[in-house]
Amino acid sequence: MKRWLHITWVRIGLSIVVGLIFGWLVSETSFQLSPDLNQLEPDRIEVVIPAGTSAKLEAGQPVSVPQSVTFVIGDILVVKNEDSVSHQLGPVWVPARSSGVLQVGSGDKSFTYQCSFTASRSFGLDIQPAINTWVRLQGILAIGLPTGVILALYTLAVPYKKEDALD
Amino acid sequence: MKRLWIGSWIVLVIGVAVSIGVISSLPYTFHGSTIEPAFSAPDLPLTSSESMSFHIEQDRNKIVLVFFGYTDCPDVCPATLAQLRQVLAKLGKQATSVQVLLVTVDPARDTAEQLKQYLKPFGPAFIGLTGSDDQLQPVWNAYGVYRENRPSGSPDTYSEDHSARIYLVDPQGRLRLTYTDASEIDSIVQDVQHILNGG
Repeated sequence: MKRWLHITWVRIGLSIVVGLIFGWLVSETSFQLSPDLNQLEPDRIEVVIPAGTSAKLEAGQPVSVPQSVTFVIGDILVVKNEDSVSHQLGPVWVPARSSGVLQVGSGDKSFTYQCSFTASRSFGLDIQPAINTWVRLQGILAIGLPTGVILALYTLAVPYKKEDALD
Repeated sequence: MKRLWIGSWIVLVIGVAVSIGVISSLPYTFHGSTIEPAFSAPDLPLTSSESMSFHIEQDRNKIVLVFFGYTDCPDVCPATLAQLRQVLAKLGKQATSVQVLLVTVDPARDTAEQLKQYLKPFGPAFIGLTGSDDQLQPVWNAYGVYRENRPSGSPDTYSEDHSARIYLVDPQGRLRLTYTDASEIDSIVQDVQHILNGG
């Protein structure tokens, strides 16, 4: 390969690498500075239905169950039923003294689901996109690649040494 | 330069192999809602659409998909049964290891003969179950079935509001998973295949 062509490829390669490092620094710094985003990692979230919930609801008494929960796609929803009757929360049906487990998928939407263990008979599931490795990689690429391309174009404008150009 | 190319290809091949290994070793995640711990499915001591007495143990070694509905249902029941027929079609040969049960929520109109005629177009894997109110009430309770009669103008044209959940009983007779009527066909197919393959 001619030396000037080899140098051109090296310049382009180094520019892309520098751009990606710059992208990684900017992207990761912004993720670290945004605690809300950092908390949105997939997790196992448990909703407990205490014993006697059904009886309390029938008697019109308050029950100690949350009205809504925020999830990230990929989270695992665990509905633990300590009551003596079966309950349901949207797509999850839980027999008495058992648990219903569902992984929140990309097809699931934020919605107020029909629910058997709250006074309002509804339960809000707020579903957020997951900030996973792929999203972080996309952030790095979105910043790093254009930066690398601009740097590469700039380096092409830098003249070669005379002996390299003549080679 | 040649060494660099060969080295790059080796690194690429190793990287792809490692990625495939990592992905294939990930545990399977069921699409349906899992019941933990799985327990013996409540019995269905009812009369089948073949006018025979039925018990859930009869289908041990098969996956049983249980749905509660009624033959006069205008929307959810035919749609869900059509969905389950597609599940069986997609399973191909493995469909012989799957049984679908339609348990009535309308025993007054759903006789064994009525269920038989209604389920005929769906194929032999579909069995209807009926019984008296006294026989059905414990079954509805055990499976958490919501059911409410909606009267209309004449006594024969009432409808039944009911829950539309699909229950999956595994070949060991354990209640393992539930689906809503909105579940995707491919999701159910993948879960069934995973269980039939020993999952």
